[in-house]
Amino acid sequence: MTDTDIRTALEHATGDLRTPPDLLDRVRAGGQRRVVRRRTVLAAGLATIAAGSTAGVLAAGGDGGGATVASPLLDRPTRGDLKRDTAFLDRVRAAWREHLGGLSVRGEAHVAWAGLAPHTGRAAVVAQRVPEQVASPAGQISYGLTGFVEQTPDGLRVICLEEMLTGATNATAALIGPDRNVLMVLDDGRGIRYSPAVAYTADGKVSRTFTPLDFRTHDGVAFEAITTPTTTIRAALRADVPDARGDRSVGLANLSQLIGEAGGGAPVGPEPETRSLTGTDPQGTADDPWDITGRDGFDDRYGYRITPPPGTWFVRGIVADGRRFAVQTLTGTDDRIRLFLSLNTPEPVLRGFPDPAAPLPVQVRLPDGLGVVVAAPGRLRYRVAGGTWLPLDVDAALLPAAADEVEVITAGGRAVRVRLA
Amino acid sequence: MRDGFDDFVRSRSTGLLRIAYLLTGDRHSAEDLVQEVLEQMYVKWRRIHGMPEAYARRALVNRAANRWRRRGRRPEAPLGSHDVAAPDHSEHVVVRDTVVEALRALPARQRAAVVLRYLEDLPVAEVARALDCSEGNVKSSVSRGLTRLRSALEPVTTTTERGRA
Repeated sequence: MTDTDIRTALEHATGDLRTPPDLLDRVRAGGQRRVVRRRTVLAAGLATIAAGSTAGVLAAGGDGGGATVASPLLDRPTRGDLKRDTAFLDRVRAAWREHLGGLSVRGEAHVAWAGLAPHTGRAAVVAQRVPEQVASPAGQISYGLTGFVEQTPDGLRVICLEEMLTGATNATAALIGPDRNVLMVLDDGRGIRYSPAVAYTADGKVSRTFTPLDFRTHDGVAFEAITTPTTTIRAALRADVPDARGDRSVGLANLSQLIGEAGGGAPVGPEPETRSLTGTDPQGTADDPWDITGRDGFDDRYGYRITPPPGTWFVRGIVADGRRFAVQTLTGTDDRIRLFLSLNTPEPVLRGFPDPAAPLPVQVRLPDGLGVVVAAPGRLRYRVAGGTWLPLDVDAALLPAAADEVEVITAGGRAVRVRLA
Repeated sequence: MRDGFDDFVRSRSTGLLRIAYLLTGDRHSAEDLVQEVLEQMYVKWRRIHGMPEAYARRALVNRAANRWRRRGRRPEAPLGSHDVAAPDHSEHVVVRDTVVEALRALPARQRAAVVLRYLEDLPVAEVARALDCSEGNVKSSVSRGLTRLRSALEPVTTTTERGRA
């Protein structure tokens, strides 16, 4: 197959793609208002929205005689201990108007919640209707905008803006305060619970304890003090009531901003590495059962990532007796790395929590004298009982069981020797 | 104030969408990605209008690689869902699905290197700038990516070639 064939195949694969006719309008509108985070298109229809949630539902009537979208966020009276402070509510609306700029909206902005946030000052949640229009191929209707407002030394500031779509659940939490260490959660009727930290079971699965949030003290909003996020957020939120797609996760409205503050989402360390070592074991694919990346229990599905996981290893091969194996690492939302071995079956066994900064982070001795799997960013060589160094010139290998020392030569040319356990 | 921006979007957005589609493997994600990148460019246009192509490519690659932040929360649409296969285009649909599936199995950097080198026909140096890596890295990524892509595509293209003969 020639290079020309590859080019032709890629052209065939994309030749029928055309941009939407309104792309330029959308881009200009989006650029002008900075970025309104567009909720991802949902496959679900409009009829399965959880009752009582903040998700919008179509209701008969409305101005103009057509259908309009009903939403508790837009339609319920203002809540919170500052709900009668008209001066504050006016200031919130003014900050909101200024943030929206020239965006097309309908009516007056509605302050859904206004109150005092512990340790940080005043805060609010605002929502406003927009001209309704079909906004996705799934038939979702865009009907409003919503955002969180916080007090800063320079005045009130809208910290996020989200489009409200039928069939979608808006993010109902945000990290506020100058150090982003106050978790503010709006009660959306889905029974949101809070977990302060992630832990792991003996078999390496994610373990979290969720407790109900107290939405009564602050009349519809709960606050939790968390550790200031630098590269990780340890807290997580989970809803008792799933959304239209069966998802119980709770979005952080200012996650994009937090990602920006944590480094802009630039990869930290090398990207995931996959290595096939011996035999003819096929390369992994996206739905490879040996790859436990997305498997239930191993993924912290209710946690939040603000930096990409560092280099992840997936080393696979076949041992001398013909059994398949996979050695892989998973990085949790707390940045801890778990090291797993699967031998003969895709079921993984936890083999420890390696230090990502260690010169040889992956080191797994296989049972029955089948060898030692090693991997590190750099070129490797090994030796047995102080003998001659045997070069590998690769970054991952299955060594003989007798190997007891590995040398890692880093990209900078530095050689580090590691005794094998 | 933003001279040339509209023309850039009109003339290049389809090309960018094609890159984004091969990077993400999903039509809707690709559209979102292109829109995000163009919005970002709109805001920064005065600083980047001298080199919009290079900026757009780099932003697409970075944002596609950073889709980890959404992964797991919002499942991707099924592959090849962006249109319905018409009978007279079935060969194209098979090739397209195979290409997309094979690309998705590649690590992000290999995927981006192959797409920029072979869809956009960029020289190695340009690809290296877009990926922020050395030309040597680009060559090795392209080589590894092509090996896997060839093995996935060979049966399909052989069949379609035979079908045409």
